[in-house]
Amino acid sequence: MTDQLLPNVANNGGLDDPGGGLPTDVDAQQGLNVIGLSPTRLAWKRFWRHRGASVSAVILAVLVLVVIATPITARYGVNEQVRDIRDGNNVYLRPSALAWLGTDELGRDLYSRLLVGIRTSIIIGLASAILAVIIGTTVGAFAGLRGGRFDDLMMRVTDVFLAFPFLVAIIVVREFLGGVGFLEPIIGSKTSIRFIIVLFAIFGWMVVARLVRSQVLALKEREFVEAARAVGASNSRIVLTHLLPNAIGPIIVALTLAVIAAVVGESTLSFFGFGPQPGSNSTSLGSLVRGSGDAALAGNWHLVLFPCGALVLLAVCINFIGDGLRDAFDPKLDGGK
Amino acid sequence: MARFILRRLIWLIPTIILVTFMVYATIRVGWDPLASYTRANPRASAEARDRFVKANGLYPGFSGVVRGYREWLWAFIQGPSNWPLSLKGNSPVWPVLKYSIANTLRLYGVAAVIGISIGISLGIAASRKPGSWLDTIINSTAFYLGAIPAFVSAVVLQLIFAVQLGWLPPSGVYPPGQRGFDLVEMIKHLILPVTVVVIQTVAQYSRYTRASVLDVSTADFLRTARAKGIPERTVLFKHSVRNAMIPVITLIAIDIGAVLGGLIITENIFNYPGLGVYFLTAINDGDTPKLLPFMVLVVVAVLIFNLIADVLYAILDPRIRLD
Repeated sequence: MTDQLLPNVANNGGLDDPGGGLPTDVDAQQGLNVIGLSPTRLAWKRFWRHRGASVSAVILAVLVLVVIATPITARYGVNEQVRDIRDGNNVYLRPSALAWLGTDELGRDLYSRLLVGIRTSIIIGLASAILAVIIGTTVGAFAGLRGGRFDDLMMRVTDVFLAFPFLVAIIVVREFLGGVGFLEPIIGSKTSIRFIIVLFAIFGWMVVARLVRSQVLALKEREFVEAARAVGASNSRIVLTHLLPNAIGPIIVALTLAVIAAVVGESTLSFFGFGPQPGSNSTSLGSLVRGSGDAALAGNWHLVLFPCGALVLLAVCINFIGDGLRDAFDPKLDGGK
Repeated sequence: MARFILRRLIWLIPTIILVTFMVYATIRVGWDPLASYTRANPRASAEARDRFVKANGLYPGFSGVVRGYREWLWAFIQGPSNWPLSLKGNSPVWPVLKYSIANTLRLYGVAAVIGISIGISLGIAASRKPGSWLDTIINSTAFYLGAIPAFVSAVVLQLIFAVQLGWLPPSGVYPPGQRGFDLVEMIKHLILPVTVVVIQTVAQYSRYTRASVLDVSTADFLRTARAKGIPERTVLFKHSVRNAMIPVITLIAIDIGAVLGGLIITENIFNYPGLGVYFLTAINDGDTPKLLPFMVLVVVAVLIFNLIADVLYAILDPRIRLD
């Protein structure tokens, strides 16, 4: 009986199986009416019960769809002016039917540019966050499992790095990496998107490493790890099939936080002129907010409001999702919501 | 305890030397100081450039970097009068650096006192009844404020209060042309930058304090205290908050160490002549003689305040044994 039940329980964890948690007719016939919910499925349910997180997830999903479909959803090209120059003045137009969010100093449609900018920023955020999580998980798992000198050294280094003023470090390291000639074929020039992704990954992996390390330290003494070791599982197998799946919750939360840190980081760097230049046929949120200080002084409020608003919207949504995921994976931390 | 502090202090010196060497090498690779010098002084003679190379120890190769670092460090220790002159204007670095430190400390001092005290109070208030309307308001406000990037709130505040309404000056420490000390003008110029920093601080500290108090709230000693009949007020402040403050205080120590890196975003938007403006000016000019003392300051501050945070943690929580 038990052997027969096992694959069924495992199947309940599948997210694409909406009825998986409910007792089926077969179960009822066999007299099994226990509702089995895997941890993943429980977390999924708890996540959607978090109001802010579920609303944010929907908003973000719609935004991502609109942004992916820029060939359809954008009304103009990135560099296209909304109206022929001879046809009258088309710069700094206020929001209107012609240009939904107004136009910039060259008469380009802010709405279309914003979509492309959000797309670039999300790509930067996701790529650098995934890279940071991969590096951080590897280092953290290694340090946690091995312990000893390497572990001590790494914790000291990350301590200092995390206390170091972020912008100072990132601007100095940016100059440094840009000055090392032989790195250029690999990570691109100082103003390329690839470079900024590598830069954020370099600064992002440490948080993940500390987190994974503490998870590994807590988990590696548990019985199921001991059992795996007893049947002769190798270290890499223990990490990959036993430790990491159990630590997946905090890792995903760290991933969302890394995404938003990179998106805001790109905008902040661009604001001070240290950001990437996404090429002639593209733009990024950072490039759009960059001119907002001057635009504000000149009274072109739409050039401040919409790019900054999009940035804040992204930040709030992703933060909410991170919050919801944290509560979902670790109900103990749920602050009485 | 004394042994722990002594051991860490002894370790501090090689750490500082190692980290400053890394910073020195990084800056040497990242910027070509000689090129920056020629850019800043295009008509400098060959002798002047030789003098610059010698004064800054710009020797070629890795051994040259080590030698340059040794000479630079030796001059640095001997005091500000021996530091190399800045690229731009060939002027001493220390007076500008001192002025910037004072400005940043004034800005952060005011903002930290206001922000941390408001943040901690709100956090304690929110943690009293988790899930109540007060908790929801405080926690979600802090959440939204914390999600707003600093440069956005700075630009928006500047736009509303300085440009549109004209109530407050948009930038600087004093109005242009002002000489001497004027408390009223200084306060007026401080309000907007301080507000930006306070928003960030309140958002961070209220959430952190709330989480910390809630963390303690299930402790056995609180139940014991209540069972003994100790008034709720005393339980709150003498037992609960006192224990919850331990991580908050170490966070404060680490924050103070990091702030010497300058409130780069706020200071640059409000053109407030603190360390953040100093740093970005030095970066944009490629002014390595100006940049190096600043970096040393940041490194030393971060390391020392990290140590202070560790020590404070042990002093405040006797359960932690350091030796």
